[in-house]
Amino acid sequence: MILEMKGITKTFYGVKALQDVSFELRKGEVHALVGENGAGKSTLMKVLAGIHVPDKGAIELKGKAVHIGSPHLSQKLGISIIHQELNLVPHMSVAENIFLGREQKVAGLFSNFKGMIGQTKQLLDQFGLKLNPSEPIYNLSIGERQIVEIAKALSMKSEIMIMDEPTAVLEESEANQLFTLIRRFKEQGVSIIYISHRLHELKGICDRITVLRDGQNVTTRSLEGLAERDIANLMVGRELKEMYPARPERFGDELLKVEGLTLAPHFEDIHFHVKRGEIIGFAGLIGAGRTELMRTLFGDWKAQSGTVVWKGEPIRIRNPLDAVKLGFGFATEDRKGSGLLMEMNVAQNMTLSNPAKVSRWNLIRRKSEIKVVRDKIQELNIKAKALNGPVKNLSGGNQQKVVIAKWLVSDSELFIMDEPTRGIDVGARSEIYNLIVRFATEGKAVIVISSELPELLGLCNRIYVMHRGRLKGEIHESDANEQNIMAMATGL
Amino acid sequence: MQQPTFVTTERYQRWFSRNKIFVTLIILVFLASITSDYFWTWNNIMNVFRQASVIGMIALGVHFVVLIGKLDLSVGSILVFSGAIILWGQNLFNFDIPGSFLLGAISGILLGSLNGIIVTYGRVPSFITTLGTMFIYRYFMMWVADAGAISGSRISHTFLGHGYWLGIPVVVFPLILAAISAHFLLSRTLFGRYIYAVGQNPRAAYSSGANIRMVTVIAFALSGMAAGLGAVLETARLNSISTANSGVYYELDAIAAVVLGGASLRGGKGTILGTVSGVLMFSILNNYMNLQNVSTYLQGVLKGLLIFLVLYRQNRLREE
Repeated sequence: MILEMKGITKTFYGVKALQDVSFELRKGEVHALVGENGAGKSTLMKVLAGIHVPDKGAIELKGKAVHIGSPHLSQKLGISIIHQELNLVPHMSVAENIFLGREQKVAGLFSNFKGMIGQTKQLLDQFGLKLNPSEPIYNLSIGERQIVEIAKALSMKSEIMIMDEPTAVLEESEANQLFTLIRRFKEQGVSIIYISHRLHELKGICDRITVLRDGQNVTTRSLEGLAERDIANLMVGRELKEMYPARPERFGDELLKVEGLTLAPHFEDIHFHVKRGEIIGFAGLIGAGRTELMRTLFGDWKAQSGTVVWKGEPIRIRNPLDAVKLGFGFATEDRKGSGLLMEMNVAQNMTLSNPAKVSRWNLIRRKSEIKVVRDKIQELNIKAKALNGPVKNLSGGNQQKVVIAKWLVSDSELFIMDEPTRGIDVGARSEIYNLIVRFATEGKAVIVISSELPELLGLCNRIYVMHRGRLKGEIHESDANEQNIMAMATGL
Repeated sequence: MQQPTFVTTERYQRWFSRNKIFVTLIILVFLASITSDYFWTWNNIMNVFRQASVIGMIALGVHFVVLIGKLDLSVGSILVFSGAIILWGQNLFNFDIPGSFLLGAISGILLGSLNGIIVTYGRVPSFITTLGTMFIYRYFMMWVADAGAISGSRISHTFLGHGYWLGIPVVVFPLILAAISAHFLLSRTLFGRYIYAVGQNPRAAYSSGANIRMVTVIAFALSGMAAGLGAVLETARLNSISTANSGVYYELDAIAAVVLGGASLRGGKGTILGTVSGVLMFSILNNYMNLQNVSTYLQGVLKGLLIFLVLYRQNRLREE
């Protein structure tokens, strides 16, 4: 047993984030830590990383009681976190990033670049990682950046590595690379705490699992004999019905048709269409140009050529305002960056894209705003304590629902959902899926972009596959499976 | 199901935490009143307001620009430019007070819009843009007026600058009116909603269909307009404008007051009550130190220290 946490309790402003939680980690073990958003996973890991000091409880490292009072101390004790948002300096090289803050000096003044590059190379070779130590970070893919982050942890001789949703930003192939790496670490005796929302990947790499729910440890057990469905049920504490609702079957007129849309080098010559009542999906690896295509369609970027036909008429969209007026709604993949105003409240966010609905002569009518917002809160089952609290205090699932509500308020007929369930827990996921299907059955159309193939397979009537900016094909729901999509997405 | 509402108990707490500067202002007034016999007299308090009028007017405009995360350094120069035009209007066309306000507002809007257009369409950072126009506006007028002063001719303006109505200096009324309008604009109109949205997260605002360029240009136009209206008050108080010496450092005083009032230079945060409190705080501090015979030069030093003190505390509280 390398790590034992006993009876950890942590309270924030009267809310119990962790309640008497115990957690243990064996040497050379990969231990999955799962739970819905707000279950206390991050808080528990932040206790371990020295960011939060628990109110109660004890931590033992290799049998010795320790007090982890600061992140620095946590690092010194051999604990490192690979954050979801990677903390690297883009304009520095791989080696410089790995030794950031611990640069080796010549004569106490000058950086010993040669030495650092040599050591980095040694470190990378040791784990069979193929990266050039003097490559600047901005040239690397997200997967490669993550490897740098991991190498950094290794260079600090970490014995415990916490990986916070490492595959959330990775493509399938990159994720597989990571899994190989994790197995190698295991052989070398590194213990890993693996946090993930993607339950299907746990099976292959993890030994044991701990499920947290509402700040309490529900179970710690071996993964053997535990189906994905069982884990999901343990997480939410109730039986999950079928994750994906029945697909819509009745289609109406063609709502949108895109012909030869091009914005080189992001995407070229894209043709697709979507009918009312239809859910279509876009599959592809990161960098395939899917998000860029949607942003262009939405007027965020300018296309070089191609036509867009909306309700049978060719249209020109110069900016998002045009798109919103026509009836486009775009739930972006990056809620924090381009989806929501985190400091503003639920009401202000919901009415942002169609303020005309709650105003007259440019004056906001408070009463009608409250009414509209309350309706949407009820309709979408949003859990918000107050209309005037900032949305940053809501969970990921509820934030996503606020984004969706925003496009409902602006009467969108076409919903573009880019990674609709990223960072959203299991319970809220199925609610989002239900909403997507509901919109389609109401005669709207939905375009879903997702890196999670099961999601596309479970939801979409048709799936378009993109590879390096080009459309590789279109697969009907009845023919679609992971193999043929992956084959197209990887360009085979 | 219990319906979510605008929670009221939290509302008061939030009001206090948002308007700390206003509370600080009240405390300052209280302390000044018990340590000086003269401070808490009607005449002196009115004096405080009168001294605050010009910077207050300018700060109300700069507030909009700061809210969208930008800066306006040209307001001091706009004050000179508009002031000159107002006085020429008086001298050459015999304009009275309404004409002066109109000229001030229009010239200010034009100069401010120019700033906004350069920032949005020219994609020049606002700091650089307004640093440039700060020189251009002022030196253009200095060139025209040969770096001299321009004097006014109408007696009615003296009433605006020095007269009293209901025992209150006339010059304070435009400020109160402007503050109420600005508050209304920010809290009740779509434009106000967009100002905060653009300031907090321009990308999200744009993706939601906000016209960021228009919001930006209007914010700069309002800043220019406020400086132009400030010029009316300034010319009324002095009955002249010096192209070389008027309005110097006003932009910095205005920004200082806005920031002291709790607005974030990163944008998206700040209230009119805060900015007005910031303005009054500087004015009270000057007034009080004058009463206590503190050297004017030392007053500047203390002003700087006050900014540090208040903002240090604010940032500390924010981090917690």
